[in-house]
Amino acid sequence: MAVACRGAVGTAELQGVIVESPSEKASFTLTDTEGDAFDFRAETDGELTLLYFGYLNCPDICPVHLAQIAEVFDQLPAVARDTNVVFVSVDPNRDSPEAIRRYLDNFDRRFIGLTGTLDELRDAQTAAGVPLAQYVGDGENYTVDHAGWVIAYGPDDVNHVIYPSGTRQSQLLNDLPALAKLGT
Amino acid sequence: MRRVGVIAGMMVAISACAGSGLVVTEARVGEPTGPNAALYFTASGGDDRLVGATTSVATAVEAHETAMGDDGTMTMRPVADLAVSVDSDLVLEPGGFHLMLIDVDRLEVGDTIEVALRWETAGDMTIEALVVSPADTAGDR
Repeated sequence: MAVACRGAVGTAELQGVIVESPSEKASFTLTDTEGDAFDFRAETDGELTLLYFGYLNCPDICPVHLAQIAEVFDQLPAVARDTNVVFVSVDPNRDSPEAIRRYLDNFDRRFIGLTGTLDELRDAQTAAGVPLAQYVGDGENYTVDHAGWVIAYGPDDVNHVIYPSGTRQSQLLNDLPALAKLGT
Repeated sequence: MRRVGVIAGMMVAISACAGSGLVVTEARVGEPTGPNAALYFTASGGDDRLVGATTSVATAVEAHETAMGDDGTMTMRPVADLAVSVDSDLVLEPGGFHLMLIDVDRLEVGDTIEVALRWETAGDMTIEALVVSPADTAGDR
Protein backbone atom coordinates (compact mmCIF):
# COMPACT_ATOMS: atom_id res chain seq x y z
CA MET A 1 0.00 0.00 0.00
CA ALA A 2 1.38 3.35 -1.01
CA VAL A 3 0.62 5.93 1.62
CA ALA A 4 1.50 9.54 2.15
CA CYS A 5 1.44 11.98 5.02
CA ARG A 6 -1.94 13.37 5.91
CA GLY A 7 -2.77 16.85 4.82
CA ALA A 8 -4.15 16.67 1.31
CA VAL A 9 -6.89 19.20 0.64
CA GLY A 10 -10.07 18.19 2.43
CA THR A 11 -8.59 15.14 4.10
CA ALA A 12 -6.48 16.69 6.86
CA GLU A 13 -8.85 15.65 9.62
CA LEU A 14 -9.10 12.03 8.52
CA GLN A 15 -7.60 9.33 10.73
CA GLY A 16 -7.62 6.52 8.18
CA VAL A 17 -4.69 5.81 5.88
CA ILE A 18 -4.56 8.47 3.16
CA VAL A 19 -3.85 7.03 -0.28
CA GLU A 20 -0.94 8.55 -2.13
CA SER A 21 -2.74 8.79 -5.46
CA PRO A 22 -6.50 9.21 -5.04
CA SER A 23 -8.36 7.11 -7.59
CA GLU A 24 -11.77 7.41 -9.16
CA LYS A 25 -14.52 5.12 -8.01
CA ALA A 26 -14.22 1.67 -9.52
CA SER A 27 -16.59 0.58 -12.27
CA PHE A 28 -17.82 -3.00 -12.17
CA THR A 29 -21.07 -4.91 -12.22
CA LEU A 30 -21.84 -7.84 -9.93
CA THR A 31 -24.98 -9.53 -8.62
CA ASP A 32 -26.71 -8.34 -5.44
CA THR A 33 -28.39 -10.50 -2.83
CA GLU A 34 -31.73 -10.20 -4.64
CA GLY A 35 -30.15 -11.71 -7.72
CA ASP A 36 -30.17 -8.43 -9.65
CA ALA A 37 -27.28 -6.86 -11.54
CA PHE A 38 -25.62 -4.10 -9.51
CA ASP A 39 -23.60 -1.47 -11.36
CA PHE A 40 -21.38 -0.30 -8.52
CA ARG A 41 -20.36 3.02 -10.05
CA ALA A 42 -23.85 3.99 -11.16
CA GLU A 43 -25.73 2.76 -8.08
CA THR A 44 -23.46 4.60 -5.66
CA ASP A 45 -22.85 7.70 -7.78
CA GLY A 46 -22.24 10.82 -5.73
CA GLU A 47 -22.59 9.04 -2.39
CA LEU A 48 -20.14 8.17 0.37
CA THR A 49 -19.41 4.48 -0.21
CA LEU A 50 -17.38 1.96 1.77
CA LEU A 51 -16.25 -1.05 -0.28
CA TYR A 52 -14.87 -4.24 1.24
CA PHE A 53 -13.86 -7.57 -0.26
CA GLY A 54 -14.17 -10.57 2.07
CA TYR A 55 -15.83 -13.94 2.61
CA LEU A 56 -18.28 -15.46 5.04
CA ASN A 57 -15.98 -18.14 6.45
CA CYS A 58 -13.56 -15.42 7.56
CA PRO A 59 -13.97 -15.37 11.36
CA ASP A 60 -11.30 -12.86 12.21
CA ILE A 61 -10.99 -9.51 10.45
CA CYS A 62 -14.10 -9.43 8.20
CA PRO A 63 -16.62 -9.34 11.06
CA VAL A 64 -14.53 -6.80 12.93
CA HIS A 65 -14.60 -4.35 10.00
CA LEU A 66 -18.32 -4.82 9.39
CA ALA A 67 -19.31 -4.67 13.06
CA GLN A 68 -17.31 -1.49 13.56
CA ILE A 69 -19.07 0.18 10.63
CA ALA A 70 -22.47 -1.03 11.87
CA GLU A 71 -21.88 0.39 15.32
CA VAL A 72 -20.70 3.72 13.87
CA PHE A 73 -23.91 3.74 11.80
CA ASP A 74 -25.89 3.36 15.02
CA GLN A 75 -24.11 6.39 16.43
CA LEU A 76 -24.35 8.52 13.27
CA PRO A 77 -27.81 7.86 11.81
CA ALA A 78 -27.77 10.96 9.61
CA VAL A 79 -24.45 9.96 8.02
CA ALA A 80 -25.57 6.35 7.74
CA ARG A 81 -28.62 7.35 5.70
CA ASP A 82 -26.38 8.75 2.96
CA THR A 83 -23.64 6.11 3.08
CA ASN A 84 -23.42 2.88 1.14
CA VAL A 85 -21.61 -0.13 2.57
CA VAL A 86 -20.86 -2.65 -0.14
CA PHE A 87 -19.51 -6.06 0.85
CA VAL A 88 -18.24 -8.19 -2.02
CA SER A 89 -17.88 -11.89 -1.29
CA VAL A 90 -14.92 -13.25 -3.21
CA ASP A 91 -15.90 -16.83 -2.30
CA PRO A 92 -18.75 -17.60 -4.74
CA ASN A 93 -18.36 -21.37 -4.36
CA ARG A 94 -19.50 -21.24 -0.73
CA ASP A 95 -21.27 -17.90 -0.34
CA SER A 96 -24.68 -17.86 -1.99
CA PRO A 97 -26.54 -14.54 -2.33
CA GLU A 98 -28.97 -15.77 0.33
CA ALA A 99 -26.13 -16.62 2.72
CA ILE A 100 -24.53 -13.24 2.11
CA ARG A 101 -27.82 -11.52 2.94
CA ARG A 102 -28.18 -13.47 6.20
CA TYR A 103 -24.57 -12.67 7.05
CA LEU A 104 -24.91 -8.93 6.44
CA ASP A 105 -28.19 -8.76 8.35
CA ASN A 106 -26.17 -9.70 11.44
CA PHE A 107 -24.54 -6.29 11.12
CA ASP A 108 -26.96 -3.92 9.35
CA ARG A 109 -29.78 -4.67 6.95
CA ARG A 110 -28.75 -1.68 4.83
CA PHE A 111 -25.41 -3.22 3.91
CA ILE A 112 -25.30 -4.23 0.26
CA GLY A 113 -23.95 -7.69 -0.59
CA LEU A 114 -22.52 -8.57 -3.97
CA THR A 115 -20.93 -11.57 -5.60
CA GLY A 116 -20.40 -12.98 -9.07
CA THR A 117 -18.48 -15.49 -11.09
CA LEU A 118 -14.77 -15.81 -10.49
CA ASP A 119 -14.15 -13.86 -13.70
CA GLU A 120 -16.53 -11.09 -12.66
CA LEU A 121 -14.94 -10.93 -9.21
CA ARG A 122 -11.48 -10.74 -10.73
CA ASP A 123 -12.60 -7.80 -12.85
CA ALA A 124 -14.14 -6.07 -9.83
CA GLN A 125 -11.00 -6.49 -7.73
CA THR A 126 -8.85 -5.22 -10.57
CA ALA A 127 -11.12 -2.21 -11.02
CA ALA A 128 -10.91 -1.45 -7.30
CA GLY A 129 -7.13 -1.81 -7.32
CA VAL A 130 -6.92 -4.56 -4.73
CA PRO A 131 -4.86 -7.76 -4.91
CA LEU A 132 -6.79 -10.68 -6.35
CA ALA A 133 -8.18 -13.14 -3.81
CA GLN A 134 -6.26 -16.40 -3.61
CA TYR A 135 -7.88 -19.69 -2.63
CA VAL A 136 -5.61 -21.75 -0.38
CA GLY A 137 -6.11 -25.34 0.75
CA ASP A 138 -8.23 -28.28 -0.29
CA GLY A 139 -11.72 -29.46 0.43
CA GLU A 140 -14.41 -27.45 2.17
CA ASN A 141 -12.14 -25.72 4.63
CA TYR A 142 -9.98 -23.76 2.21
CA THR A 143 -9.17 -20.19 3.18
CA VAL A 144 -9.26 -17.09 1.03
CA ASP A 145 -6.44 -14.59 1.04
CA HIS A 146 -8.06 -11.24 0.35
CA ALA A 147 -7.51 -7.51 0.53
CA GLY A 148 -7.65 -6.54 4.18
CA TRP A 149 -8.87 -2.98 3.96
CA VAL A 150 -12.06 -0.98 3.55
CA ILE A 151 -11.95 1.41 0.58
CA ALA A 152 -13.76 4.71 1.21
CA TYR A 153 -15.07 6.71 -1.75
CA GLY A 154 -16.30 10.20 -0.90
CA PRO A 155 -19.38 11.81 -2.45
CA ASP A 156 -16.87 13.11 -5.01
CA ASP A 157 -16.52 9.48 -6.20
CA VAL A 158 -12.82 9.48 -5.35
CA ASN A 159 -10.96 7.12 -3.02
CA HIS A 160 -8.96 9.29 -0.63
CA VAL A 161 -8.55 6.98 2.33
CA ILE A 162 -8.54 3.33 3.31
CA TYR A 163 -9.09 1.51 6.60
CA PRO A 164 -6.76 -1.48 7.02
CA SER A 165 -7.09 -4.31 9.51
CA GLY A 166 -6.38 -2.88 12.94
CA THR A 167 -8.42 0.28 12.37
CA ARG A 168 -10.16 1.45 15.52
CA GLN A 169 -13.85 2.14 15.57
CA SER A 170 -13.11 5.64 16.88
CA GLN A 171 -11.24 6.39 13.65
CA LEU A 172 -14.30 5.53 11.58
CA LEU A 173 -16.48 7.55 13.93
CA ASN A 174 -14.23 10.54 13.33
CA ASP A 175 -13.86 10.09 9.60
CA LEU A 176 -17.32 9.27 8.23
CA PRO A 177 -18.81 12.73 8.89
CA ALA A 178 -15.73 14.35 7.33
CA LEU A 179 -15.84 12.02 4.35
CA ALA A 180 -19.52 12.77 3.85
CA LYS A 181 -18.59 16.40 3.22
CA LEU A 182 -15.85 15.73 0.68
CA GLY A 183 -16.69 17.26 -2.67
CA THR A 184 -19.81 18.94 -1.38
CA MET B 1 -25.97 -6.73 17.92
CA ARG B 2 -25.68 -5.17 21.33
CA ARG B 3 -22.62 -3.38 22.48
CA VAL B 4 -20.90 -4.98 25.42
CA GLY B 5 -17.61 -3.59 26.59
CA VAL B 6 -14.72 -6.00 26.36
CA ILE B 7 -13.71 -4.98 29.83
CA ALA B 8 -16.68 -7.03 31.03
CA GLY B 9 -15.22 -9.98 29.18
CA MET B 10 -11.95 -9.54 30.93
CA MET B 11 -13.72 -9.86 34.26
CA VAL B 12 -15.40 -13.13 33.38
CA ALA B 13 -12.60 -15.57 32.99
CA ILE B 14 -9.32 -15.75 34.76
CA SER B 15 -8.34 -19.37 34.54
CA ALA B 16 -5.24 -20.84 36.04
CA CYS B 17 -3.58 -24.21 36.35
CA ALA B 18 -2.61 -25.06 39.89
CA GLY B 19 1.12 -25.11 40.35
CA SER B 20 2.10 -24.02 36.87
CA GLY B 21 1.57 -20.29 37.20
CA LEU B 22 -0.12 -20.24 33.81
CA VAL B 23 -3.06 -17.86 33.67
CA VAL B 24 -5.54 -17.17 30.88
CA THR B 25 -7.32 -13.82 30.82
CA GLU B 26 -9.41 -11.71 28.43
CA ALA B 27 -11.12 -14.76 26.92
CA ARG B 28 -13.76 -13.63 24.45
CA VAL B 29 -15.39 -14.91 21.29
CA GLY B 30 -16.89 -12.83 18.54
CA GLU B 31 -20.62 -13.35 18.08
CA PRO B 32 -20.83 -15.79 15.16
CA THR B 33 -21.94 -14.15 11.92
CA GLY B 34 -21.06 -17.06 9.66
CA PRO B 35 -20.21 -20.73 10.05
CA ASN B 36 -17.13 -20.00 12.17
CA ALA B 37 -16.19 -17.76 15.05
CA ALA B 38 -12.88 -16.64 16.52
CA LEU B 39 -11.82 -17.09 20.15
CA TYR B 40 -9.22 -14.79 21.65
CA PHE B 41 -7.39 -14.72 24.98
CA THR B 42 -4.10 -13.90 26.62
CA ALA B 43 -2.02 -16.57 28.36
CA SER B 44 0.76 -15.56 30.70
CA GLY B 45 2.87 -16.56 33.66
CA GLY B 46 4.27 -19.88 32.55
CA ASP B 47 6.40 -21.71 30.01
CA ASP B 48 4.06 -23.85 27.98
CA ARG B 49 2.58 -24.74 24.62
CA LEU B 50 -1.05 -25.14 23.64
CA VAL B 51 -1.52 -28.60 22.16
CA GLY B 52 -5.29 -28.89 21.89
CA ALA B 53 -8.66 -27.26 22.42
CA THR B 54 -12.26 -28.47 22.35
CA THR B 55 -15.67 -27.01 23.05
CA SER B 56 -19.18 -28.40 23.00
CA VAL B 57 -20.41 -25.48 20.87
CA ALA B 58 -18.26 -26.25 17.79
CA THR B 59 -17.40 -29.35 15.82
CA ALA B 60 -13.70 -28.53 15.85
CA VAL B 61 -11.25 -25.94 17.13
CA GLU B 62 -8.21 -24.95 15.08
CA ALA B 63 -5.38 -22.56 15.84
CA HIS B 64 -4.91 -20.00 13.07
CA GLU B 65 -2.75 -17.02 12.38
CA THR B 66 -3.92 -14.06 10.36
CA ALA B 67 -1.16 -11.99 8.82
CA MET B 68 -0.82 -9.15 6.37
CA GLY B 69 1.29 -9.62 3.27
CA ASP B 70 3.45 -6.93 1.70
CA ASP B 71 0.63 -5.93 -0.63
CA GLY B 72 -1.93 -5.67 2.17
CA THR B 73 -3.45 -9.07 1.50
CA MET B 74 -4.73 -10.74 4.66
CA THR B 75 -3.86 -14.40 4.94
CA MET B 76 -5.12 -16.99 7.41
CA ARG B 77 -3.17 -20.20 7.99
CA PRO B 78 -3.29 -23.03 10.52
CA VAL B 79 -0.54 -22.65 13.08
CA ALA B 80 1.03 -25.61 14.83
CA ASP B 81 2.69 -23.92 17.72
CA LEU B 82 1.12 -21.47 20.17
CA ALA B 83 3.69 -20.95 22.90
CA VAL B 84 3.81 -18.86 26.05
CA SER B 85 6.76 -18.14 28.30
CA VAL B 86 7.20 -16.33 31.57
CA ASP B 87 8.90 -13.58 29.56
CA SER B 88 6.44 -13.44 26.68
CA ASP B 89 2.66 -13.60 26.85
CA LEU B 90 0.71 -15.54 24.26
CA VAL B 91 -1.75 -12.99 22.88
CA LEU B 92 -4.62 -14.07 20.65
CA GLU B 93 -6.25 -11.03 19.00
CA PRO B 94 -7.83 -9.96 15.69
CA GLY B 95 -5.25 -9.74 12.94
CA GLY B 96 -2.97 -12.21 14.74
CA PHE B 97 -3.58 -15.55 16.39
CA HIS B 98 -7.03 -16.95 17.11
CA LEU B 99 -8.69 -20.26 17.82
CA MET B 100 -11.29 -20.83 15.12
CA LEU B 101 -14.50 -22.48 16.29
CA ILE B 102 -15.66 -24.43 13.25
CA ASP B 103 -19.38 -24.97 12.58
CA VAL B 104 -20.11 -23.07 15.74
CA ASP B 105 -23.54 -23.06 17.35
CA ARG B 106 -25.67 -19.96 17.34
CA LEU B 107 -24.38 -17.73 20.14
CA GLU B 108 -25.51 -14.32 21.25
CA VAL B 109 -23.72 -11.40 22.82
CA GLY B 110 -23.66 -11.92 26.57
CA ASP B 111 -23.50 -15.72 26.41
CA THR B 112 -20.52 -17.49 27.91
CA ILE B 113 -19.01 -20.65 26.51
CA GLU B 114 -16.63 -23.15 28.04
CA VAL B 115 -13.53 -24.17 26.15
CA ALA B 116 -11.18 -26.94 27.26
CA LEU B 117 -7.55 -26.07 26.61
CA ARG B 118 -4.84 -28.71 26.79
CA TRP B 119 -1.35 -27.42 27.57
CA GLU B 120 1.77 -29.50 27.07
CA THR B 121 2.99 -28.96 30.63
CA ALA B 122 0.12 -27.57 32.64
CA GLY B 123 -2.38 -30.11 31.32
CA ASP B 124 -6.09 -29.48 31.01
CA MET B 125 -7.64 -26.10 31.75
CA THR B 126 -11.25 -25.06 31.21
CA ILE B 127 -11.81 -21.41 30.41
CA GLU B 128 -14.98 -19.38 30.11
CA ALA B 129 -15.21 -16.95 27.22
CA LEU B 130 -17.77 -14.17 26.90
CA VAL B 131 -19.52 -13.74 23.56
CA VAL B 132 -19.06 -10.13 22.43
CA SER B 133 -19.76 -8.14 19.29
CA PRO B 134 -17.02 -8.69 16.71
CA ALA B 135 -16.28 -4.98 17.10
CA ASP B 136 -15.39 -5.65 20.74
CA THR B 137 -13.01 -8.53 20.08
CA ALA B 138 -10.36 -6.03 19.10
CA GLY B 139 -10.46 -4.50 22.56
CA ASP B 140 -9.48 -0.88 22.07
CA ARG B 141 -12.19 0.98 20.20
